[in-house]
Amino acid sequence: MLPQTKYMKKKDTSFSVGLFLATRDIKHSNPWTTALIVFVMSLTFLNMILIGGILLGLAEGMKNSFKQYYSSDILITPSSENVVIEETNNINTVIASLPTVAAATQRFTSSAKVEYGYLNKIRSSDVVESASGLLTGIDPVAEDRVTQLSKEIIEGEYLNPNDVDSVLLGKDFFERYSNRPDISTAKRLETAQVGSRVKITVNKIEKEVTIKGIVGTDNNTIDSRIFMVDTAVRGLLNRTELDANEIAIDLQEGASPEDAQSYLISNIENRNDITVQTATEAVPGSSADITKTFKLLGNLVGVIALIVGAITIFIVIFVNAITRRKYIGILKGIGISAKAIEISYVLQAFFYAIAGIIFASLFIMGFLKPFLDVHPLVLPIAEGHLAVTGNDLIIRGIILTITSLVSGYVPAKLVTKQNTLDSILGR
Amino acid sequence: MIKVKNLIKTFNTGGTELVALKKLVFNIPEGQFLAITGKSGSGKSTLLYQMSLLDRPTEGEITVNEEDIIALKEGGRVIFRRNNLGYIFQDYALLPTLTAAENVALPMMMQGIDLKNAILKAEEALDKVGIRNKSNNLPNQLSGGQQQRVSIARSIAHKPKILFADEPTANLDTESSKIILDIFTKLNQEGQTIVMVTHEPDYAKIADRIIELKDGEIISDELVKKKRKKKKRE
Repeated sequence: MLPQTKYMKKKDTSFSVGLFLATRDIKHSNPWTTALIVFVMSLTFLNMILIGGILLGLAEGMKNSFKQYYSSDILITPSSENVVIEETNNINTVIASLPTVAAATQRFTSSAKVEYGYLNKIRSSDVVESASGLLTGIDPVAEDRVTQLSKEIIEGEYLNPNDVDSVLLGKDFFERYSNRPDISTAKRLETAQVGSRVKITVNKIEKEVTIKGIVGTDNNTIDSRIFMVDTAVRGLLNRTELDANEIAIDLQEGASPEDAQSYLISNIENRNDITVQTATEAVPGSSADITKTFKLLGNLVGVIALIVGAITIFIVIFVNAITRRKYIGILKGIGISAKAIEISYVLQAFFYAIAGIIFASLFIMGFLKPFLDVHPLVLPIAEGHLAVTGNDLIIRGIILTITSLVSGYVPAKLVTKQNTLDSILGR
Repeated sequence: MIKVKNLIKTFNTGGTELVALKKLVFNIPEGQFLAITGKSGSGKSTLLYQMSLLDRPTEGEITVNEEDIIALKEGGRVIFRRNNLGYIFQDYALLPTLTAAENVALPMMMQGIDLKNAILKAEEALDKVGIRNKSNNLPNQLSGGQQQRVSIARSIAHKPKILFADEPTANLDTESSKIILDIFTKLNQEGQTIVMVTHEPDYAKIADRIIELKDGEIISDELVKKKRKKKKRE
């Protein structure tokens, strides 16, 4: 009997022959077919990146706007047993001694009702436009330094420190601006405008003020607030002490929020009466849940896209291999190893995947991401950018490539393992 | 060179056993040009497939230079075919995405010859069959006769011990068939062992020997008398 080893070659040429066959197949294939396959792979890759990236971008947008307009780098609030931040003055002294502090603002808050149209009410059945929100007393200058709220005035003007009879209303109070479906029309001001006189009611104390401006940040924590100069609010609330309800601290660029948090906790004497949180910690639980859910959804969509991509490659290679079954038989007949034939199909799958990934990546990084940075998707919860990095592209690209290689190998293996003569004779 | 002993091939078709080859016994010496003839269904192509390792017989022995080729496993059969056998198929069987030269070069590349040298050798083989000027043409740019000549070039480029041809002229016109048969005659005169299956009795006459099959049995095995000078193959 002839020993098998006698026919084993010293040099395995399967890869070079497989590469040769793959390049010739791609070179001489119908360019429209190749373009279509690459296009499908690009769409698959886009699908893997896009939905997840936008969902993640929304979640990041929520977090960022929360930090930008509300918490800043550090947020101090009363502990759960307290209503106000006791000894605010002492705390302000500690904040001022924080080496990395850039600015701070304190806010005085209380639930309030805004009414419009009450001056024209003749009968008790006449409807008055009214809405509720959190009355927030601010030092307009300090607040603007921390949150740059003046830049988010979409109508009218920002408050001056002397505007004791004026308010800024968040856009969620207005029917024409609000895009929040969770607030019924009945709870919004339908006809009030900048310059309108409205009545603010806090603890049965009423005050007439003028709407000086409308704030629109797309962050519902801010857009549902009534901003007023702090001295006027304290008067309205009858607060003689200076104890605030919120203190937001902006740190210098590059400063560590965790270090600042530790510093404040160690130096504030009544630390047990307050809560000192970094922006990440201060994000409401619901936002964190949304972020988690969005990430999960993004991954789920990515996995579905991956499966679609894998099936696409499988079908392309399988159809290609099946229609060329006779040629595969001939290749084996003239002594081309099954391994070389399989490699040629795997390399074709590799080409389709890489080409698709490159085109999709160029589209994402060269057009889509910059476009969405300039023109974000405006949604009720936040502005949606495309949260995708080079690393995301590389990782998902590798996953798609590996999936494509497997999807290319399986059908090639199925066809090459068929009997050579049956393949040649097409039986 | 080739020894066939008690070769049996059966097929199961819908529960019925069809005996395609019935205990065939014959030898093919080195350098011989053997034509296997017979009517359709006589078993001539089946016999060729067994000898050329494209199929496995049900029973019997086939040895090439005293080596039992039936015992080879699939990988070994592929390598044996690559290094020792050449094939010419009825429908040329060229790869449509490769040029004529690349089609010829492919088996040599598998043997470890680099592309550049394989193409050079392929062009020499194409020259031998008279179509070197078509080396850069794709198969669909060639006539049937030219494609069959590329197929012959592919089968001889790696200098196989035995050349198998399955109805090589079946799809060709008379003129192209004559060209192909002339090439076979020339190759055989240079010492190439050739086994050709044909159903054309006139074409079979160019061979040294004709085996005629009927219903899987050899009904005649005759040497053809003719005068020609053969070179001893190097």
